[in-house]
Amino acid sequence: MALLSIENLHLSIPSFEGEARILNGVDLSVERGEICGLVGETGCGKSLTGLSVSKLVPSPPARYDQGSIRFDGQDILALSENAMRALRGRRIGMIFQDPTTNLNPLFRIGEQMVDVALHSMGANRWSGSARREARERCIAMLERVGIQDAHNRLDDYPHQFSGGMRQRVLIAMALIGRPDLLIADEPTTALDVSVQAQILQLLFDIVREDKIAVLLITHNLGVVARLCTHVAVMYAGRIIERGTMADVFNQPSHPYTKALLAAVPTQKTRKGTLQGLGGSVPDPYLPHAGCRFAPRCAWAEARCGEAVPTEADLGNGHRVACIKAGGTA
Amino acid sequence: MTTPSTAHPSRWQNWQRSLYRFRQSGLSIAGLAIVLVLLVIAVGGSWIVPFPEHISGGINTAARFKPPSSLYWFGTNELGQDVFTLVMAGARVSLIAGFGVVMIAAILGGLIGALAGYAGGWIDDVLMRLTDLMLTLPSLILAMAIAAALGAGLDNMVFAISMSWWPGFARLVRGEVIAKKEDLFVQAARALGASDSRILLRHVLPNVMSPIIIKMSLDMGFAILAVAALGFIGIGVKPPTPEWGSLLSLARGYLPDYWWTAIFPGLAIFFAVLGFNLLGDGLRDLFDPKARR
Amino acid sequence: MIRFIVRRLVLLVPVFIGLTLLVFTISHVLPGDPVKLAAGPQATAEEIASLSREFGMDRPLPQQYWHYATGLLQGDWGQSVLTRRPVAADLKIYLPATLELVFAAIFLAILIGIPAGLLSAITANRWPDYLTRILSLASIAMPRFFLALVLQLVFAMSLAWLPLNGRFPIIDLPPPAITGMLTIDSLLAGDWLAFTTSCEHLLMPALAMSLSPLATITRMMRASTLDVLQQDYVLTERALGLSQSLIILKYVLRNAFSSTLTVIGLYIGWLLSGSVLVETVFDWPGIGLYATKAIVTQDFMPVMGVTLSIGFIFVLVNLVIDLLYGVINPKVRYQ
Repeated sequence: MALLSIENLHLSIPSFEGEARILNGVDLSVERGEICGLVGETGCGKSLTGLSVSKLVPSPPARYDQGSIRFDGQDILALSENAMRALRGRRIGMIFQDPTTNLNPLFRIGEQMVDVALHSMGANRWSGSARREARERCIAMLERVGIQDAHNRLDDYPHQFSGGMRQRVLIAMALIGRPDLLIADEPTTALDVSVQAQILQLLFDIVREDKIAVLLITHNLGVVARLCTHVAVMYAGRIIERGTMADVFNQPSHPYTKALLAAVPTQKTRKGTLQGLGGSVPDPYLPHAGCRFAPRCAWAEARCGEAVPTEADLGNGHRVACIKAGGTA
Repeated sequence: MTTPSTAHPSRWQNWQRSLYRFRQSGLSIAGLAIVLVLLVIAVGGSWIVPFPEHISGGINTAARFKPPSSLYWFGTNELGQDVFTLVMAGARVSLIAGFGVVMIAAILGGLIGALAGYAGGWIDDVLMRLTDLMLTLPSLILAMAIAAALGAGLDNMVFAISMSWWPGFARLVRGEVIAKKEDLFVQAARALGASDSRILLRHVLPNVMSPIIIKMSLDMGFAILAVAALGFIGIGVKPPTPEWGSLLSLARGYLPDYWWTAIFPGLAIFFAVLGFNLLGDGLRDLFDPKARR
Repeated sequence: MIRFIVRRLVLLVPVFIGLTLLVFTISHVLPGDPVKLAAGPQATAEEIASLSREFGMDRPLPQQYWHYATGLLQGDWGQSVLTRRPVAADLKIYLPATLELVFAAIFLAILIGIPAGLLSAITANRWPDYLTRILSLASIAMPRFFLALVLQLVFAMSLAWLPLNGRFPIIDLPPPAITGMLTIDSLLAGDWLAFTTSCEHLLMPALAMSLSPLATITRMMRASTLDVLQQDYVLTERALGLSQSLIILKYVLRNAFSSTLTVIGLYIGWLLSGSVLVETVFDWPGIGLYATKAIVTQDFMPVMGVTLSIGFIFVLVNLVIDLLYGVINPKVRYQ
């Protein structure tokens, strides 16, 4: 049984402008030990998918109209807030994009981290011995993510760390509870290019060592290529192709995936011939019928606009939601 | 039903949305209602009160201290005067005085702030130091001192209060002018050879009107409160001016038996200030929704 | 951190000088002749002239200012023309009375306002929030002096639960004066009865004064709490499993609090300035009443003394608040 299994998830958020249908039938699964990259353009719904797994999307006003999220067999959408809290920080860890805004500037990182550690230990906050142990665990974890002099650094404030160091701290905080699943939402996007590689390597090493399953949300195919074992491509709130890295990257079967991969410049790309993809991401407020990619698809036919294509199974877990690949309309 | 993409809502749409919110906000509507009622009362003056002769000092010793009844809605005071009439008459006094304070403060403070902001340099430094120092001085005491020195009278009182009020406007306008100073249209005017004073008066100031008006509407309630405060202390209002604060002060000696002489003027102050505050908040949300709360 | 404090203290000096200059200038710009008033309607020209010499009013203005400023530093804050007593002595009696009142009012405002603002933000747009917002709006519009009268009417005159006026019953023995504030002095002397008595007298005036700052603090806390709740670090705290109550009471509270600090400083100045409005109603012997009597009789020195004291206290309070900012926000400290 998959550790994380999202089936046909629909999410809509009403607002002043109308009702935005953000997720339109997301199908995704992550097994233990897999590093699954969730790729897509900005605004396709990948961050909200990640937040949904930890039930961090305020609902109301958001609504999960259909579908389910199962973590280790448990139905996430049906869990109470207390039950979710038992999962967060202990079995599910999360890191976000911007290390500058994700640490509370008025508190020493030790204070923040110890609180997380105490929660992950399930310990009594007011117990001196529990606090001491939590502190020890924090120091150990900080050292593991590569922060020197962790013992003293615990008493520093976030603004005394560089961007890359802060992200290391956040990674440490997310992993201190030894979670089974780590959800990383654009963990390197806000960092300097030189630091990105280090952080990615750090993540890679730790998740491999501890056999942590990862849902890595990103728009950067390069990051996916470096880290991931599996990949799921999202478009307009649906997963249009998913499978192992090898299958999807070497045999992309969905027109969108093909276009994405073709757009990445390589050494062979001649000057002036960047391959973009015409058109723009569909408006989540507008209802639609059929495949949402059809308006931009070079291979679209009349059938594509009739009904949303189901997933075609190309073997080895490689699935594509396109009529052309064998999916039915 | 399709809804349009909300990439760039036009100014008219923004305005409509703001007006919609204003209408939806019960509090702002309540404020508007109160203020309109006050305006009607103030304009109506002696024509709409049951006992207009009491406003100018007429007394009726036979009807002293009558409790509220169908004849005297708010009862009568120690001179037999109808409290309802006096409170109604007080509306005009408070509104005019409050408006006067805010107006003078806005003009004086606005000019000083505009000058400081536009000129920059040492002029800005000196003026802002002065403004900051004024802000550390106790405003009520300053106003009392000026009013007492100038002598009794509503206009003296208004002037005195506005002397402690202008620094707030000066700061506001200075900030706005500094922000607008580097705008393109100012640079264009300068390039065309317009003099500084012309630029200031014809180009910069009209564009900072919006925050000034917002502040004026927000301050109006507190200005009325300040006028009532000075009236309560007894500085600056000549009897028999029916000013709410002084009515309250006179009524002090007759508590608790003749409570109506104090309660109604006090409630009048409260509702007037409340009404203007609510309206001011609503107007601020209308004109500058980003500045909410 | 020490550098931060020292720098701010040094900046106080020109401010104080500026204040004294401003106050002196204003008092001499205003029309009115206190000497004539003090001399009385029957005074002859010679009597007025000699009185003028006695108070040093015949010397040129810059000299009068210098004399005044140096006198201030030495503790000579002038004489009250009317009462013929040193202003400094008067202030020593009246200032602590007002300070006690103002601090009690601010204490109440913070005690109730901060939790109310937090609660309002957490229950945003539900009925506790609406109720709090309406009460806040009403509180800001309510004139202090009217509220004082109503409180007096209800709790003293009608129900007789609380004393009518004054700081302490005349027949009882007050605690020995150390700070001049009866509540603190009673605690220092261990006199529990005096403490409760002075609190009873303090309650209504402090309450009347506290309503406006209470409402504003509530509003500001609500606004900044709502703002903080949107921050990324709060999401991270939630994502890592911290409980809502821990997040609110430990983290959000500190982040949201700094906006109210400024307001507290401003209100202390505002309350000190307008203290007469409440002091009048309760016959509270504070600087408000003292200054008002002096104003009416155009007695320069007490008015200047009171104005300067309030100005100085306001500046000092703001300094303390700046320092508190440094305590709360480490980035300010490490500049």
